[in-house]
Amino acid sequence: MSHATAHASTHGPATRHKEAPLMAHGSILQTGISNGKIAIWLFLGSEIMFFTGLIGAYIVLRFAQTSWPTPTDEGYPLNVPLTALNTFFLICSSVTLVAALQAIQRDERSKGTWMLAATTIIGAIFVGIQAFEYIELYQHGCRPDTDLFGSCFYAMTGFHGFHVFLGVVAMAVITCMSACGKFSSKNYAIVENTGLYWHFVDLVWIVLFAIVYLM
Amino acid sequence: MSTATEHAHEHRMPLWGLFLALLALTAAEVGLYEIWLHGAKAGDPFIPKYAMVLIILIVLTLPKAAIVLIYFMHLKFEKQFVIGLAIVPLVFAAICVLPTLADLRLNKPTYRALPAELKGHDLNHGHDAAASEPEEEASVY
Repeated sequence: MSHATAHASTHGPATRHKEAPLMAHGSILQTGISNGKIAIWLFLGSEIMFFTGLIGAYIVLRFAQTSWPTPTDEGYPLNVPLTALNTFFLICSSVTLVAALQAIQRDERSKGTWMLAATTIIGAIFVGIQAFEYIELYQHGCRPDTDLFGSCFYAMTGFHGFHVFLGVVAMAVITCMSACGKFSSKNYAIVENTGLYWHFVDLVWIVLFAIVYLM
Repeated sequence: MSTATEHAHEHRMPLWGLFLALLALTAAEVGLYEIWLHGAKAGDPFIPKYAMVLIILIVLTLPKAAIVLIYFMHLKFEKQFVIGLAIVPLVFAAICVLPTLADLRLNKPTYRALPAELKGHDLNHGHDAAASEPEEEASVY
């Protein structure tokens, strides 16, 4: 591949298109990496900055306040055991997604489809539990407009939950595509790139769980 | 497109081992939190200080994040260009956030619960805010 790329760079555009390695969907590789993977990583880079902005703002605001709810306070609003269970579900979904990708790479399409379906369902359970948590918090008077803690909490977990929701929709779509036989050992880029997004959302939750709920 | 050109074969990883490691680290986090919480509420003098618990939680969180990033997101098996795409935003994010934490002191009282005698007192205006607001609004926590 590197030989082909180096060779292509010494010729004109017509020759380059002829010599450069083609991927299954026709994109031309100059880096040896598919355009889709570069695109998803650039997107995830912007997402890293987005969530860092939220987390950074949370840390600065929290440590600048004279009053902030702590776990030892009476009536502390957050339900840590329930959220720990939710964390467990999200970790499980990442594992089932890795298992799905591995199955598709081995052309075990049925197993791959079932694992993708499991990922979708577990992701939906995560969103459902978060919705239940929001309802409970609202009933206990913890709302986005209650205080700064409420604003920060709903902003961080809300944006993350929205990302998970989008991921669940994407997972449902690729589960259907997998059931229709769209993926194989030679064509699994959509699963891999969607998986990168899903794992990133899992990664963000691992950080949010520690910062928002435990600290 | 990820095809045989890019991935000649499936990357082997100890999936169940990683799963158990993630679960164990999460359980350790929650366990530490619960032990600290019950000890702190009971006034146990042997319970570590909150600042120490924070540091331990960060130490437990980092390996979890690293497992997801390195194995589940395949950075261990990627080309340097992709690794750069992942690492550079993290470095910039650290550069953006860390300077704002310059005045952070883990033993500052500001992040602890407000003392009972100050609760409901508007520090900015110097009057009792609780007296002018509905009771239910002032005692959310």
